[in-house]
Amino acid sequence: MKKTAIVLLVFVILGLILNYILGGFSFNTLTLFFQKPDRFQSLLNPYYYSILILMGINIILSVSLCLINGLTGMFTMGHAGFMAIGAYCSASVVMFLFPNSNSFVQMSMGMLAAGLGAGFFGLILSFSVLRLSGDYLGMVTLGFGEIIRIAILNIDKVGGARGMTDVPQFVNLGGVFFWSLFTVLVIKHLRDSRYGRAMIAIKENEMAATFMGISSFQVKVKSFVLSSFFAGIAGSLFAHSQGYLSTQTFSFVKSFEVIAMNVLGGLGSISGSIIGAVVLTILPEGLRKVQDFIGVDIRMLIYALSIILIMILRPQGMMGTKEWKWLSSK
Amino acid sequence: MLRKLMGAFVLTSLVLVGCSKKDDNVILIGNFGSMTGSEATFGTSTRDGILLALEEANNEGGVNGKRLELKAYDNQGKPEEARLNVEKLINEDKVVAVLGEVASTRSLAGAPVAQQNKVPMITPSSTNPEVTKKGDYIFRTCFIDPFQGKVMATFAVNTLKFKKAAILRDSKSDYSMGLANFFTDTFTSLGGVIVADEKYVSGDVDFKAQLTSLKSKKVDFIYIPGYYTEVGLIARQARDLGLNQPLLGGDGWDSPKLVEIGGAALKDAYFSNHYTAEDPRPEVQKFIENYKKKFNIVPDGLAAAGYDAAKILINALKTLPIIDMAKLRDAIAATRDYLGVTGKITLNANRDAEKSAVVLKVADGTFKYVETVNP
Amino acid sequence: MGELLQHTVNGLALGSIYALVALGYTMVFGVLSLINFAHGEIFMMGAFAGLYTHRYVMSHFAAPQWILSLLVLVGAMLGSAIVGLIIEKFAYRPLRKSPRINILITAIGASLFLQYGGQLVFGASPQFFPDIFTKTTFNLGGGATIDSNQILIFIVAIVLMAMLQFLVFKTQFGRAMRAISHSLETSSVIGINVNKIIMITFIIGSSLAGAAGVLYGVAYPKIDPIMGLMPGLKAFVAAVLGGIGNITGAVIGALILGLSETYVAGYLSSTYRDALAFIILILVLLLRPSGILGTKKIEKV
Repeated sequence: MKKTAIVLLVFVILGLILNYILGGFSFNTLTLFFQKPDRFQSLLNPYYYSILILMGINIILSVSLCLINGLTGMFTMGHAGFMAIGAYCSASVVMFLFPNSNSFVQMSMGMLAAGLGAGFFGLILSFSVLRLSGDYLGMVTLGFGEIIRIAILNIDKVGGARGMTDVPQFVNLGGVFFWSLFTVLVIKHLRDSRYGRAMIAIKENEMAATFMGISSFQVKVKSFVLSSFFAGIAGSLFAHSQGYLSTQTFSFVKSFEVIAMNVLGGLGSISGSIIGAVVLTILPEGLRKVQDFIGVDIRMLIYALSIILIMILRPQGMMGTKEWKWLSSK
Repeated sequence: MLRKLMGAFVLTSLVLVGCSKKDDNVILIGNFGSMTGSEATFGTSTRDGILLALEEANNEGGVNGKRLELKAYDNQGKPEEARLNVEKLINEDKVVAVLGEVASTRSLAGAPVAQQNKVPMITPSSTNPEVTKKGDYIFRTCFIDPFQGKVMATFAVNTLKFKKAAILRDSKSDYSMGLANFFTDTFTSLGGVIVADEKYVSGDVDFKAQLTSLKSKKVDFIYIPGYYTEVGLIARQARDLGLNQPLLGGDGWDSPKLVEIGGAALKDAYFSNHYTAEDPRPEVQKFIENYKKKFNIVPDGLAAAGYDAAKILINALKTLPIIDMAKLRDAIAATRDYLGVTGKITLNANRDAEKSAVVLKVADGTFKYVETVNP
Repeated sequence: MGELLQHTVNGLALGSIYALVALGYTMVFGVLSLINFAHGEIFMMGAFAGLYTHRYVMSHFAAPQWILSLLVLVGAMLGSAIVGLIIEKFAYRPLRKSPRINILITAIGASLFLQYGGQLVFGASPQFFPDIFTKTTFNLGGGATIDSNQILIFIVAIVLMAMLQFLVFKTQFGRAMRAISHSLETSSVIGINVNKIIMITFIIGSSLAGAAGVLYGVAYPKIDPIMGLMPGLKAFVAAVLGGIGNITGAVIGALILGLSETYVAGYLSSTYRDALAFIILILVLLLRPSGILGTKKIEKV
């Protein structure tokens, strides 16, 4: 508890300082989160800026997936579906219910809708967990993710196959940074709590855990719901930073990208998930330059090849199950 | 070991991401399109038409002494990529203007970025009216779909004397959905009846289910306002199922690949378009000849449209000794009576062009001219 | 009535293609308990191998139609078998003792690698499969038609299924396969050359997928490097529906899937057709995980 408090304090102070500077050297509290990106863009190339936002969103996705895959041991492949629900719920609520409100209202309502919507579907999906495990669970969650994507594809009101345009863009780097930090700390806390230990116990040996009195069903459901909640939040941030949503973005390949981030960093490690997210956000962008040189898109190819190599050569990823100091359980 | 490798990789990427170069004697023009994927010929033809226009301008001394260069990006047919294309062109490559896209859905994805950054964007071929509504920096040098829908509806009723239509539209394309609606408006107002209205998604390969539903209804012709890859496949499968009615469509059919895919199934097929290679006007024939010399193929409507849009941009650039985006925008907006390969182009108050359309028939492996329709 | 008949014909033809792919899935799963996620891409490779074989033969020889078709089929099956073997040797064999999840992730990685590699090698734009069988259409009454390609696909699927059934249950090789599917370790202890049997299983499974690729190209002439993902997933669903590991089950599951998909697309909306496969998957795994023809397994504590 103490360690978390210190970390939190440090980041809050940093955040306030940043806020002060970017708010034009005054204490406009909302600046940090809701100021339009222009302010930041005078400090930072807009290209780098968008990569950083993407990185923050990927961190949220990766860490929330870690909760369910790495920590509870349930191999799910439908994370993109929850992100999609979050994105579309948030965009719809903001555009149809609060089109003229200020950014603060829009963001809160949007994220609330996103998190609740995604969490709700996570709840529904979690019931399928009752009977399944391992590969089959993976395939079912993949199926679920695809069904969600196809269902959204058929809703004309949100643009259907053509995509949703003109989504209000009020998310900026400060907001993304805040939410990433929030997610990481919440999940770290969860892992260190009784529930967290129960999750890890279930991952290690479900039979034994049940004999010890842990209700595996309850723990798994909670894990699912929280994981999808944060995926929804990530989706909302994505929607309101991009301004354009297309169901193509939320296909199974996206789910696999998040899985790749976890695998790269180390399946049971929160720090690993963060590393994986950072590397797999920067790498494709760096490779884009190579692509311009060669004239051919080898990004995804290298991506896929790296996954295969990692699984064969170093399946525990970069961190294994170890953590950085400030995220460790001690 | 792995960590060091990872670290090296990440560092290299960061360095590469930061690299760029600049040249002061060059005016950079941006182009984004679908150079690969199901609509690949749209992107490559447009780009090639633009390249021809730039080459001709450079051969005549460039614009105010500077050379024109093109930066072209491929979005693989994906709207999210289209947006990224425009962001890159504007933020990284710092182009003076953007030419593109062909598909309305992708133009709609890229336009807001251009508008937000106040960089002029000209679409040579997007016909959905929503595109230019994105802002006053967005232009188009072709006609819009309310007109195009009217063209085929009128053709069907007055020339072919048909009353009952079935529509098969692409639900992934703003162009297709919009055009189908505009067609329906005119067709029904002329006394026609839409007997069936089915959907598919571009990327589909199996249309037998929708076509089978159509079969059971009495239909004079099928209107397919989609893109050439699906149209070709639909034509084949329709004929396989015994549906031999005429097929009608729009400018999304314009591609040399259409005949390759559809083959003999495209008997009795007509579509509305911006241009025909049979146009006897001297400027058209000269363009075709020059294009054939450079690219070894007869240009399609997309190339012609790209050529015209590029020329209009170049003309606007020539009026400005110093390039200022706002002045460039005004110069483009002032285009009046430009005699292009695809007809006379005047940009109206909505920044759309009012032009005639042609109706073409698919026959003997090419597109044959049938008639011209004026606005 | 004619409409229903037509949808049925279309559905059976589609299902037959799924069947050929599902057979390969079910075989590999039966022997290795592995979901070969890359199987859809092997199917895709078969289609392209067939395309390039066709081009090569056309430009070098003047062959009569039926020899050409045969060569294309053989070329496709050979091509996909080679790809299957490469994946088995380099991606799956090193992980034979690893947790299932790792292998699944690797399989997905292999699948994506082949998709994007295909885009690199074949180009990302779709290509068009030539008409290698002359097509005649027959009228079935009620306005429904069936063409010779559809009949061919159906027959090929049934014949190959029968051959496979014979192989697995009436030959020594088949016995070895079944032994391995019960227990890999025991089988190697009693002297079965496990690696060889697994390789042959992959060869057979992949060739079937390759044949399916050609037939798909014939039925839906547009092929591109990402065409394998959806059919691959659907074939997996078909195999699960019929009882994974069971050969007849795979075919029955595939035909049912093909039919239901076509009915949904025809009577409801074509945009839901892909969702149906996943809905079926979820229902089967929740209600009757062993599938239609599968046997129930008891989990020992």
